[in-house]
Amino acid sequence: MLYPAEWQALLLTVKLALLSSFFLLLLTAPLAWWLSRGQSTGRNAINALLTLPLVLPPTVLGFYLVLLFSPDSWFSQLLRLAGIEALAFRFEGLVLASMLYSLPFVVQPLQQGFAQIAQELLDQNRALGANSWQLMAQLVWPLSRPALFSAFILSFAHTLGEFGIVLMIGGNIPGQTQLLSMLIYDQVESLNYARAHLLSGLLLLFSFSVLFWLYQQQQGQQQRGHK
Amino acid sequence: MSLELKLNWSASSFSLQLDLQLTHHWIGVYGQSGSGKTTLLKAVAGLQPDAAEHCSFRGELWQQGQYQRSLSSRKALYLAPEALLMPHKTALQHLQLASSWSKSPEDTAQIIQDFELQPLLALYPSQLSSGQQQKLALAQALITRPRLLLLDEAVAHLDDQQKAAVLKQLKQYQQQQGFMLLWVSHQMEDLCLYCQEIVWLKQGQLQQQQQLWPQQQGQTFYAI
Repeated sequence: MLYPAEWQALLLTVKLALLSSFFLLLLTAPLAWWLSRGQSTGRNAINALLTLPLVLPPTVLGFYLVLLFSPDSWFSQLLRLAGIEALAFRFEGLVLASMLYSLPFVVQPLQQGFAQIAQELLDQNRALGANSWQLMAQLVWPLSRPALFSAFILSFAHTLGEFGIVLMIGGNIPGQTQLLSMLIYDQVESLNYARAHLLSGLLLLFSFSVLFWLYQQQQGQQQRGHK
Repeated sequence: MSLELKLNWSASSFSLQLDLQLTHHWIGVYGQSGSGKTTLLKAVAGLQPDAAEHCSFRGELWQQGQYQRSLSSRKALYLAPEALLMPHKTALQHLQLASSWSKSPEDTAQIIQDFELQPLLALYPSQLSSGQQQKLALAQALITRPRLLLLDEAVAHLDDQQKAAVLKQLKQYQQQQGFMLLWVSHQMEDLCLYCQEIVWLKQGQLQQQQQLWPQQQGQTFYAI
């Protein structure tokens, strides 16, 4: 049903979504925790910054990334010092770009989830004798698992639909940077509507299933009432 | 001197100025809503550090200006009117965790028996009534052998019969463990029945500090 090139693009898309969501979660969880622990001008500024990818056109992000990833930028020179070549037109570059692109989709659910864990409850259990690790294991981790899950799924689904940034920085190299969305674009450009239909339908069905599953899970968690 | 406290705190329309020296074991705190009772308790517990200028307990400095002794080393437990429980843990897990976090915990089985918690052990906080939640929070606190217990209307949701039973147990644990107890309540009758000394606050000031009972060697105080 699918041609090898299409399989490759599909697998690459899923791999990109998984990897970037995983790293994003890992990196932003401490930040989201800090943001959830109160209000301040500093927090508002960081929040605004983190929400930017939601409102900026992908071309703006893509443009800055093009500059950043070009071989003679300070960023690429730093990478070269660490023995890594410039990120333009490479899968690693896409991972980094996707993380930026999906940032608000991770930080916001995490922040909301963390905010549900009352500081009073943490203080109470600290006073009862729990140390930071015990608080983490017994309170923070179990209570924020639903938020971590939502954040991961949202980021995953959002990355599946990534297009604009890839167009700007990734090129269209099969097996490296050719994602499903790019392939669909190509097919439409060459008026090959049959393939475009198939791939678009596939992405639509897949994304719907993932989101539907997420909402089902969230409902289940609410019904179980946090147990 | 057991508990020495100097509070100086003001919010928009409220200011709290207190200088207290408390020596008895069982102290009632009385006053109208908004008289500063909760702030007093939280300041002692270390939950509202900006309210206290100085606090020391049994010769140990807890707070002096910027210096703050950590919550865990004070062993002072503040119990709020609405018990702070973990939504995802059963009653039994609350007791077990408190026991495992404590260096020399009280016997859990004994506490369960004394506070008649047996039928509640498998239940989650959302399945408990607010009175049962208060009972659980109190039992959980006692497991850790606190040095100071700060009750903010923390038995107010219990019916009279249960309250009497809980207070009777509390009295026994107090004599056994030797902790000091500050008890905020609106029920003057309760305070008179159990407390050796009452601190009466009015609009953030000390209205009256009254010993209620001729002290018979400190320990031999019993409610009638």
